[in-house]
Amino acid sequence: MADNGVQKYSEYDHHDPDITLENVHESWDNLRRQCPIGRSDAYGGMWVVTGFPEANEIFHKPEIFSSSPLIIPPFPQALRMVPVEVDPPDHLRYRTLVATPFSPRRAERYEEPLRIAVNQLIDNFIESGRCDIYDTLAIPFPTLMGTTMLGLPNSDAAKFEEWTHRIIHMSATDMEVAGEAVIELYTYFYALLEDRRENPVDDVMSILAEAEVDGVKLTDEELMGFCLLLLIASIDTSQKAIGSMLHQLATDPELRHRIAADPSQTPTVVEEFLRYWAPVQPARRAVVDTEVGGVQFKEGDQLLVLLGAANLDEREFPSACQFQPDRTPNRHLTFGTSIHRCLGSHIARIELRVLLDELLRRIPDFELEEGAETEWSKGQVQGVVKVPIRFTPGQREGA
Amino acid sequence: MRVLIDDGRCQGHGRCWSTEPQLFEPKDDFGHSAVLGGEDQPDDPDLVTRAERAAEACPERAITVVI
Repeated sequence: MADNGVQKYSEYDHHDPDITLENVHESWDNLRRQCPIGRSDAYGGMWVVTGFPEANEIFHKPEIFSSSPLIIPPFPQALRMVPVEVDPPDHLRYRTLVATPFSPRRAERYEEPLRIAVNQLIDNFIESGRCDIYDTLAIPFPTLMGTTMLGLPNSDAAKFEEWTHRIIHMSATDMEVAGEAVIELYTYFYALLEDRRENPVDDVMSILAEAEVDGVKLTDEELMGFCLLLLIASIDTSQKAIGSMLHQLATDPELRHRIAADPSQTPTVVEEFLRYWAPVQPARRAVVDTEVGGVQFKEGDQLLVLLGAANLDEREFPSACQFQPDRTPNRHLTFGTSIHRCLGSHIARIELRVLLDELLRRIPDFELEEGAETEWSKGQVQGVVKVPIRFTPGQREGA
Repeated sequence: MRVLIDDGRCQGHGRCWSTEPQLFEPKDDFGHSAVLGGEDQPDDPDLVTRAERAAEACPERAITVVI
């Protein structure tokens, strides 16, 4: 047992059913106050990183800390997710394949279509005066964005959402159900890519269907690894981030009014929502014996990087546990950093900004249903997944 | 002033060009940043503040402002 207090993490399990919305920030903060890197016995033993400088250093050493596997415990039937689980120097060759559709310039082009889409979704519930806004907005909006940009039929949205949920949130508890979802996903995308080879269009799936690295076509395993990542990362992460944001807005009228009064603040507030509610908690693996923050790692050691906790580190963020809508600078780690920085970050920022602007324009006041129970999604994609609200009914804007 | 971007550090987070579009722009599909009009910039106080704010906001500490 190390002498720096690492034993204090011995009980930590990111899938623990006792993690709730009410205690998650406190538990992240408590862990980090004990020590910025601790040892847990869960999942065959893992290091849990909660400090900002330590997480930052680990991300900036991708040759030493491989991002494969990214998930603890691994998804059943897992194929290496591309490009996030590919180490340098190969990583860049795979990431380059999809750089253009995820580029900042391309992301900007989605702003108006997203604005139209979010208003259509709001139209669907604005006359009712009550709904679970997680179901009516946080679930469908990211799926619509994901299917649009990847080139998938939105009519299959329910299927994508179900696979994503089973894979990310049931792998730790029900391998069989999660594994079946992975196989169904592979089967679906295999057929879709076949079709795109015959009938290419201007979408990400068509790019992948014909993609080559060093003159060689991607293997089926690489293609399926790509599709697995692109689907689950575009849907699940944004859903949880939006769920948390909506829940906070429902409980904080002052914040709602402040944002609605000056939409020019939205980009800054979005960064603070991202810092405070980091959905993704990724893993790393030491490929050699090494040291960070005074902790010795052995080759093969796995690390869970709790970005939610790192984002609450006082060494980086003054009054870190307070939500400060005008916080600057705000170098949060929610999208990761270094070479594996989130490919979809430019699109995700626009998605959050547009949703916030349009929702508060049309429904400036809403509150949680009295006595409503909260629900926190655990594991490696965390966030609020139940936001039942009441509000004064409004008018539809669309036909 | 001179505004320098270390291309070896920049990872395309886009914090500079999204918050200070008067000074920075994405130069490629990865979102790597470039200084609009080149690294030599006028010593305009507003521009200096913007450059310093961007340098502070950069997650990779890739921006240096020389006055």
